[in-house]
Parts: sequence; C-alpha cells; structure tokens
Amino acid sequence: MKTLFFDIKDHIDPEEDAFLLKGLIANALERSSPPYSEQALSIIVRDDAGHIIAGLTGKTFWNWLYIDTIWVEKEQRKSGLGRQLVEKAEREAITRGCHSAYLWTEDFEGEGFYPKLGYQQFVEKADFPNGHRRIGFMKRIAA
Amino acid sequence: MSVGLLEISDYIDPEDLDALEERLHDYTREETGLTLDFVPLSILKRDEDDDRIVAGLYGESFWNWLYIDSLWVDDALCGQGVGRSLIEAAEEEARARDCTGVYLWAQSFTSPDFYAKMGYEVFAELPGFPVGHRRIGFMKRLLQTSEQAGSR
Repeated sequence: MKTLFFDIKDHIDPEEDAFLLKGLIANALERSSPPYSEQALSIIVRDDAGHIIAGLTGKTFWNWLYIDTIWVEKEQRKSGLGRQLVEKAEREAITRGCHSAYLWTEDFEGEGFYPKLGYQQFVEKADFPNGHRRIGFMKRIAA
Repeated sequence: MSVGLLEISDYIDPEDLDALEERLHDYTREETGLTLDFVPLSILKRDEDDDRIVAGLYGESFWNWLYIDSLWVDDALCGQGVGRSLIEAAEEEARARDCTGVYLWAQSFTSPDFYAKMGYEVFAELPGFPVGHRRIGFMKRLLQTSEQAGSR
C-alpha cells in the first residue's frame, strides 16, 4: 500500500465536502439503498415590521424530518407559537413523504416541551456539555 | 403585538438561519452561561502521486463531544484499515479538544459492524429510515488517560 498524506485541519473546504459526500452517496447507492435526497425546511414568523419573532429550520431526508433549530422570542413564549411551528413542520414533512421526526435538545431547552407534543425520548447523553444533558426526541407523525 | 404569517419554504435563507442561531446562542448564554463552541474537523487522506482525495472524514466538535458527520473511503482502499485509522485520528483530535465522547449516525445498509468493532455502542435505532432500513446512532466515551486524570 502506498503512503498516504494525512491532512487534518479545523475548517472544512466546501469543495472537499462535496467530493466526500459524492463518494459517500455513490457508495451507498452501490449497496442498493434508496436514493438520497434532502430538502431544506424553513418556517419563519415575522412581526409587522418584518423582524423575526420565531422560526424553525431543518430538513427532510429518507422519510424523516430532522428539526435543527427552533426559537421563539421571549415575549412570545407560552403563546403556542412553538407548538404551531412544530406542527406546521410535521404537516409539511408528511406531504414530503415523511413518517417520523427527530431532533436534539438540551436539559435547559425543550426537555419539557417536546413530550407535550407527543415526542418520545430515544436517548439521553450525560455531560453534553459538561454539567448538562443532551436529549434526543422522536415522534411518529404519519401511519 | 400581532403575529405575522408563518413563511414556509424549502429554502433556508442564510440570513434567517444566522439570526435564529444568534438568538439561540443568546438564550443558551442567558440560561447557562455557556457559549457554543463549534470547531469543524476535517481529516483527509490523499494519494501520494496525484494528490487525489482517497478517504476522508468530516464533522465538528462542540460542547465536549465530537460529531462525525461523514466518513468515506475509496472502494479501491476498502479493507485496508483506512477507515479505522481515520476514526482513530478523529478520536485523538477529540481528546486534544477535551471531548468526553464521540457520536455519529450510520445506516443499516452501510457498515454498522465497523463501528461496533471500533468500540462504539448503539444509542438509538430509528426505524424506517429510509423505509425498509434503519438509522443507527453510535457513541463512544473517550477514556481519560491516567496522566490526564492526574493533571486535573
């Protein structure tokens, strides 16, 4: 086997990224997996002045919805806006052929919020970050 | 205050995402005093002759954990321990970044056995991901060496 250069760094070159992902997808396809395609999802709520007061971003891929970020302005919390965002995302995911959703949250974020929306914890990681727990939630959203 | 319409889109405006992330960071700082400390990690192996990328791993560390996003090895190099060496290099870097653990997602149709052999344990199995397959979460806690433990 030839010697291979080893290149380790703390930034990601978009071109190299694309190359790696392409190889990964090609490999996966060869193993007769379903084709991979992901679609972004963004739901933004603005006030009359156009300022963002709440929002959700994520993506759908392989029949699942992944919720990446969700935020609601302090004054709007407990107004049901968070619930609306999640429900809207779920409905959109269903139209995209998704049957389930998953996300990560922290013990200081949405640990109490997601169970109320029917989400079940699938993992809890201690010391993530140190002194806190990171929790994975999932939900079946369609039959 | 009236609440505007929900704008739903299959395009994430980078400005919107920046705004949301900034507000989330503020929230986290207010609640916990913590700041998000994302540091990307990219490890590439290149061919000696033509500098072509023949294997690579990328991911990011944050909050004392390393997340491995993708690992890829050229078919011609499969079975030669390249994947193992990439994971080991990533773990070494994770230790250097004070991470207590590493986690990643694998698919039932890729090679979940590989991660088990590397000492990773399953933390989740998401069914029908994609339909007919499973998405498998693997994690590994990095043990402190006695030297590190002694110095703290």
